[in-house]
Amino acid sequence: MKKILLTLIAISSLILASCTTTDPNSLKISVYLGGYGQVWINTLARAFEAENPGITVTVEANPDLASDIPNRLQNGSPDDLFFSHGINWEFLAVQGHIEPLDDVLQEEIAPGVKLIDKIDQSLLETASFNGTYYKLPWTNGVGGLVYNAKMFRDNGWEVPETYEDLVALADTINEAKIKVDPTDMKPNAATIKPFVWSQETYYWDYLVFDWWAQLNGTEFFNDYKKAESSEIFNPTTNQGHYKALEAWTDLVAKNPLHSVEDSVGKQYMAAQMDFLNGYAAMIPNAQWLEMEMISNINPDIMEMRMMPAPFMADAKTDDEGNPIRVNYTVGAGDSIIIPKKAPNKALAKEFLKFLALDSSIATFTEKTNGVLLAMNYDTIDLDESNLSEFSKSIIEINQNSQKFNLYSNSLMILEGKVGLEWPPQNLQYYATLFNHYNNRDYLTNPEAWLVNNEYNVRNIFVESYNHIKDNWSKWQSEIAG
Amino acid sequence: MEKSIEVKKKRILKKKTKQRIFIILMLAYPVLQFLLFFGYVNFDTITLTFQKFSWTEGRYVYSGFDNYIMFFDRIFNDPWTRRTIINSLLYMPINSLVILPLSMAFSYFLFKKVPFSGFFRVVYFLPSILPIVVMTMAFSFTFDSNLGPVNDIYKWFFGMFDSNVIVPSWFGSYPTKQMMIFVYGIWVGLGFNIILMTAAITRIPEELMEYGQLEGIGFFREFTTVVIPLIWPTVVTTFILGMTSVFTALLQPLFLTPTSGDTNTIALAIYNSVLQNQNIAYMATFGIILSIFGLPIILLTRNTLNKFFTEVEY
Amino acid sequence: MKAHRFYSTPAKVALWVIFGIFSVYAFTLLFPFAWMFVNSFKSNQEFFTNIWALPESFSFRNYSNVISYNMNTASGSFNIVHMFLLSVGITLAATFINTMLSAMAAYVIARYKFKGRNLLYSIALFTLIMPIVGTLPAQFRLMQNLGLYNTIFGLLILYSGSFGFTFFIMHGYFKNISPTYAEAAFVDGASDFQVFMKIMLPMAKPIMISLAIIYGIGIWNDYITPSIYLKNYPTLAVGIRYLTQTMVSTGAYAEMFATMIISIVPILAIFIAFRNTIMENMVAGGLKG
Repeated sequence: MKKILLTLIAISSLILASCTTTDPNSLKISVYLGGYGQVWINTLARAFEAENPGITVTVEANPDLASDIPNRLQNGSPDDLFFSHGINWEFLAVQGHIEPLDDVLQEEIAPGVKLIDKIDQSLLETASFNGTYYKLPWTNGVGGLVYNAKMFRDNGWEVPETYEDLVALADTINEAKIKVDPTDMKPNAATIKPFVWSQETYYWDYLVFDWWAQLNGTEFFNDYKKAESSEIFNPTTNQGHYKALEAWTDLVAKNPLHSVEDSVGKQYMAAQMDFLNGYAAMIPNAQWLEMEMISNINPDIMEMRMMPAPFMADAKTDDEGNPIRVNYTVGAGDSIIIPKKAPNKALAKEFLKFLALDSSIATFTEKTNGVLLAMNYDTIDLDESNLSEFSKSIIEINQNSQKFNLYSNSLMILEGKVGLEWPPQNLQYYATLFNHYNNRDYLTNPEAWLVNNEYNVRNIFVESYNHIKDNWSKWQSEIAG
Repeated sequence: MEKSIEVKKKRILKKKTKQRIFIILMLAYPVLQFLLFFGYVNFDTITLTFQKFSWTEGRYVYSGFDNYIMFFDRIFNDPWTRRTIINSLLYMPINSLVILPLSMAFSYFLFKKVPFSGFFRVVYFLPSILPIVVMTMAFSFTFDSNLGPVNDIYKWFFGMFDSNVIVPSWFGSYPTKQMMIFVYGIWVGLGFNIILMTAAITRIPEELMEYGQLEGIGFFREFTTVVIPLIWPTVVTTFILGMTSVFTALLQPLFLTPTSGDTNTIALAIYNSVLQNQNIAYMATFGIILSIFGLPIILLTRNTLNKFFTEVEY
Repeated sequence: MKAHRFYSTPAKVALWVIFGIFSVYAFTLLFPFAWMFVNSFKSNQEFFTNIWALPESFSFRNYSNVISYNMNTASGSFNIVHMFLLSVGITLAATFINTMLSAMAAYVIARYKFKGRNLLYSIALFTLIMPIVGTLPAQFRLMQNLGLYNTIFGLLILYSGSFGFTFFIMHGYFKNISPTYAEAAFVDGASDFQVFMKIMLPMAKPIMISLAIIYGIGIWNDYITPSIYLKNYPTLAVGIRYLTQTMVSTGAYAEMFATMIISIVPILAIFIAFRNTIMENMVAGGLKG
């Protein structure tokens, strides 16, 4: 029995091993299949083949890729190139499973222009670990408040430029009590609300972090991300974080009726569909929304746009006194990597250089409805006729804002001892705050209730800071090397 | 004479050898698979609990009892660890003290030929054969504020007493969302247990049941004095199996509250760490320690419960 | 079981109250599916205009569209039919293997005296009631090292653990068989193996069938194990999650309902056809020792 089993195991391993072919003229690219679709990679693959006769490119688009990549890297696979989010690449790189890219980054893709020059500089620092580059950043994501431009136009609402404008707009929309379905005659017919969101409350981060950066300035994050001591969490020096959350609380949590009913408990797709069906004027979301919902957008109801983050009153200003536009890079962890065991590393590197050409960059953006590659777009000429209004609004924000991100390769962060987005454990507070105010007593008599029951938002950060301070050295000692 | 004894001995020896070969052949694969997938895996896991990933060396290195120390530190200092464990522990009373008694009562009445018993049995068993993805999706849609009927019914019903009725956020606030997960567990879990109990009840000999009928005892007495003692072994088994859900509850919170940290369970935490390739050695330690604590409790429970009604052979 | 016809009035009232409760519970189980069934005939847009209205026309368009959805893995493209076939194949194979192996082990341990027999039984009992959590990473590594990760063969090996629930029930059963059956056969010169195959197994057939059904249902619905260890070949339980998520992510709710209905029809049919066999044979007693 044992012998039979061992033989069977040996045979099956042999079969698996013999399945990898190493054809020097074939390139296999595997991409995460999500909101971007796969038209972009298929187009680029064909273009690469056209420029390199004799080369064939196979594409695998797989929504489950992220969780499978560690196995493929460790055990070897036919893949030469991965495009994915959620890869724990630092962990894999340090074990030697990822091909370093220092060499190809120094190669020229055009006279006088190296590959490394084309990478978006604010994201370049997210690509190296222990002094070596192991990946190319994939996308330069944009998030914030998406709004229904048609609904705004029909009702004479203006896109808010400041936070105060946004607060006033939310009041206006809520008080207008416009029926979602004009033919609905029931007394409690649904009316349009300013906001709809879902139990995946982190979508609000895309707006709230912009406010944080407006107040602290984007340079603040350079030190913050190094996570060298617990002082970075001190609310006395890091005021932007709690003030941004306070602003959110005043806008959303303290006005439970401004959000579609039970947003806090909704499935995220139900929230997006509510938005598409005209139940709300705005939804916190990011650049993939249009592509994801493309088959269900009804132009009679919806014209999707992303609005630039409204300015907080105390936002940092430039020399001329104008508030500085900032935008949080969504998906700064998305990666393009080459496995150490890839059959055709040279060809994969050639593809990376190809990807950095202006034509490729333009193709990507045009075929993903406005998503930007993590590249420098200064020299890119996008064919406007291929872009939707939504795409144009995203590109406009990306090109005119100071971009920042919260990616860190401090070991404290990589091991999950503490989180940068929402210290200490990266659990958002939106639901707690919303549920705190969503009660009958507050709704019937706000002022009286607030006297004793106002939630001290700053306190969240004080307690969190103290907790982190107390545990910092213990957590550090728990990390091996 | 001696020759026949010799021959007999040889025959017996041959028979015993054949028997041994038979035993070995029958047990070879099961034991091998067991040694590999239980023995070796557990040994490997325990080895892992004494290791940590070193970022400078790029591999796991020996770290002594560090993971164990970290576990006890987290138990005392980290509210989220405690919440995870408490959530997991709560599955036990839900299974063994709610679902089990309810299913016993249901089975009893189905046995008593409540009208349409056959139909009910089929319907109640449905959740056990349908994909869990489908069940959880059906369940969450029912409670959506726009898609599902519950909120409208709630507002209509309670609106009669209170014009400012506010519908609770079923999946948006803690502890409501955890309770909804338990409600889901009861909703789908009754059926399977009902079938087990029904099978046990139907094996009770008629004479014993009729004896009760002739004495003129009512439902309650018949149930408590006749039925329960006679199906007790089945009850104990199901009770114990329900306790194991403390360690295995994973899919309900995963599908019903996908991004929630406050409905975390032991199994879900471990599953997530494997999927994200993070903190694997610590999570292995977490699981092992909790299993070690759980074992004596389960054994004790089983032994205590078994003492209640001495087994009757029939 | 005689029908108990002679109930007193209070008993009858109690029964009707219970009937009411049962009906409500049954309704809550059936309602979501009835709703999805009705909505599966609407177009996606129609569904969102009014989720409670009856469809304008009962078209099977959604059902035919479901076939065109594919789950792409490293091993190819799978639609719902492929997933169904994979599930059927894996469930049948795993159930057969597991039931046979468990019976083999149970028979030997129940009826033959040898060293280590009690040890094996105790260890098996231990593993049944004591799930050791936290072994997932180690099991994962073992599967990879053996080259079994992401193979159907590997999944079957994982499912073939023979010291579980099936083992215990079979052990109890074999232990209680009177020795006379076997003795007569041995006297006639039968080998141990022949006794097992020709006498014991046929006797145990009914109980093995019911145990196989219980185990098979568990495999059919298992999401976790194939989602981790067989990513390339999606079973129905795993594939349904992918398909429904894809459809939800593009707002194709009506098609998603059609998918869910399709996924449950086959197993529902089998269950209704065999319901008596299944329900009469589910045994769970006697884990003493």
